[in-house]
Amino acid sequence: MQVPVTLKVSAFALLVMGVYTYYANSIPQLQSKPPVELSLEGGNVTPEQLVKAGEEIFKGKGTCEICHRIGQKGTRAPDMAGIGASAAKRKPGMSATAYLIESLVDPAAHLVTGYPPIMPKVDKPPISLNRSEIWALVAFLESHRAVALLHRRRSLSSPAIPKRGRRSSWGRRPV
Amino acid sequence: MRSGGVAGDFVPAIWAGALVLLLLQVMPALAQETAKGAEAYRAFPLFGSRLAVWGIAQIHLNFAAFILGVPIFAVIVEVMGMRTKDPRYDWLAHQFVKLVFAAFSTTALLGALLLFLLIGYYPKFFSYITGIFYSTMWVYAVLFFLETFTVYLWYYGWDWLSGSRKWIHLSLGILANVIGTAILFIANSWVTFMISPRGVDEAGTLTSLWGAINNYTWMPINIHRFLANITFGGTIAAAYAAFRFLSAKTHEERALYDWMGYIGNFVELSSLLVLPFAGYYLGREIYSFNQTMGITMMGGFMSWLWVLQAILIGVLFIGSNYYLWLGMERIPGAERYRKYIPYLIMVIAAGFMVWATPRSMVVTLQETRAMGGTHHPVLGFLGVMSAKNTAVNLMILTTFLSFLLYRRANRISVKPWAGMGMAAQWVIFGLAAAIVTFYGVYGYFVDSIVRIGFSVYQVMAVLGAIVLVMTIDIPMFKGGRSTGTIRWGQIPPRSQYVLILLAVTFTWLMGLMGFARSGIRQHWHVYGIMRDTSVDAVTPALGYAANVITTVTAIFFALVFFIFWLGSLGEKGKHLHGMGPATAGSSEDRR
Repeated sequence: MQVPVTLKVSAFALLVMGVYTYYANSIPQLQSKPPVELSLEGGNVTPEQLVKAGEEIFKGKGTCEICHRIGQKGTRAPDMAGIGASAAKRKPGMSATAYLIESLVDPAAHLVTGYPPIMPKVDKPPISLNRSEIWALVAFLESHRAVALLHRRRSLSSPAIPKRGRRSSWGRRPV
Repeated sequence: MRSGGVAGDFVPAIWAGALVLLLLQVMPALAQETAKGAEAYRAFPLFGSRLAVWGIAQIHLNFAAFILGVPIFAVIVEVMGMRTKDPRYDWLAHQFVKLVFAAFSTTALLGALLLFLLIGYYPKFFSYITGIFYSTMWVYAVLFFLETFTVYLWYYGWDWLSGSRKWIHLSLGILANVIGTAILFIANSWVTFMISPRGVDEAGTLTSLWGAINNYTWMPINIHRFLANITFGGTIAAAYAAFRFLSAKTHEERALYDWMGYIGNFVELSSLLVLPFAGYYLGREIYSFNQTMGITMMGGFMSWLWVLQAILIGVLFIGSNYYLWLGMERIPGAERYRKYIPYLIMVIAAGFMVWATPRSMVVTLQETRAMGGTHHPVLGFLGVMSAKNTAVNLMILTTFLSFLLYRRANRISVKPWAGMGMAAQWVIFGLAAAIVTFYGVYGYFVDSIVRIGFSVYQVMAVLGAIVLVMTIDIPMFKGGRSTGTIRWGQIPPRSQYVLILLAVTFTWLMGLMGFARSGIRQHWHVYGIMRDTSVDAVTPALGYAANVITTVTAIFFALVFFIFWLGSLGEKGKHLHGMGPATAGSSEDRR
């Protein structure tokens, strides 16, 4: 029996699309969910809770992790390991907290050599972090003082870590 | 025959245009209602508002791309007919316009339906966009009428404006394309404003209409869509020809539709070769507008989309080359080039594999340990842009070489400088490949900001090679000795399935890229200006998007099939006026 051309062509077209659809369903399924607003105004929050909230913003709504990593040098933006310690030394007379806030709301004010001025202002759209969220993010970044110390201790005790790994990759670039 | 059968097709288009004008008239009132505090969203029954808009927008865009792309090469074919005085080109151009003509009213009706959905289910958003672009919507509607009447005249005036008045007819075709392109550019300004808004202040209030139109992604999308429409039109026309070839009862019909399929594929390939460059330009402008958006697009939740895109484009390149190689079998004299084909396959297959290699994968802890990290120690190096840019540029060069071999398959140059000309062509090919490879390797040793600039040199090397090689090739083979007549119609049926594969793949790819373009806005209707606060604010994963794209693409093809079937009803029982194998494109100069 002769199969009609229309049927053959339709089956072929559906098979091709089916293969593409199957592949698309087989690979990791990642959604992009709208961020949830964080408000700490008038609330009673412990430093640990603040740091935890900041970490979530770092990985989520703040979109920081797209360019910045902690303990890993990025190609687009500096490593955040030890930022809590080094931020206080960036600008004479400026505290770590003040420096970090400036870096978040006016990233072009101070740039790390070797990195392009690509960071957006986090209090403006599309990131639009509110006051509470910026505060939590700063608390999280400041908490990374210990990470630097830990890294330094590891590098001194372990000769297997290459030389480049011993140096703090945090430069003069804001967050 | 020429003016029969589809005479009433423009009536719905005109009605749709009139409805759009009417809506424009009442839009200020609608906007005021919304401003008074009317609801921002309404829920479409059963499957939700987003899916309704997504589906209709995608089908509308598919049809719109077809009716804007096909007339461009219909005019080119008509010019070829005028130059060569060969009536078959004129017949083919008319066939192409007939396909457009049949799809015209469906496009307009789908556009009107999309408008109703936006007004009805996204009133606040639509009110905002109308507030920005209200004046351009009037221009759009007026141009739509002009386009309708111009294509109407172009199609129905085919016999009337022949002979000494042919230039008037050709001018109508060119005018239809100019108006069509203007329509495309206006619609693009609305869509691109949503991605990269400009000409507004932080609150979203309009400060400059031209600024809003001429936003970061407007011109790149204009160029990208213009080229993609030609490619799309070419694939659909070639698939139509393939279907007719497979259904043909006589050798004459097969020869005719084989030739038509070849022309469709030729047009598709010509624009496909430069399409990746337009894509680069668009990507660069997205980064210029907002780095975060660019990085989210390429390295964020959408990163796997590009692996899928690479596979689809790989299929397009492999399919186009395979069709050319199969086509060479019907050309006497092409045997001398057969020995090169395995090498061309190797380059294209290798390029495809590199392009489809992901940079990092979502893996289990055990797999990560076994691999020594989330990046594969060897293959991970092929996942970066340096390798991918090199691969795609070499694939383009190889495809161009395939086309060149096809072009000269049954011709031998009689020019005394032919040997030197061919040597120069090989040197140009070699140089271009060397430049592309050099910058690809060098890219691993420089910072990302420098590396991005290297892609421009790679693109320039390939484009420069194409232009230079053709500049030598055209005069070299002009008046060349023929090695035999092309045996149109004598091509394996699988070649026709390749044409159908190209059409389906390109249409699916359009749906995927539409999802990417829209998805990079994430939870924003207008990026950074107007947030999506609806229940559909989540940007779905690739699997869900693929299910939607496949469903919509299947509906699109079913509609196209139905429309073409309607259009063919007027042909029943009519002969093809001597367009048989002996005549249809049977000489070497008809390629």
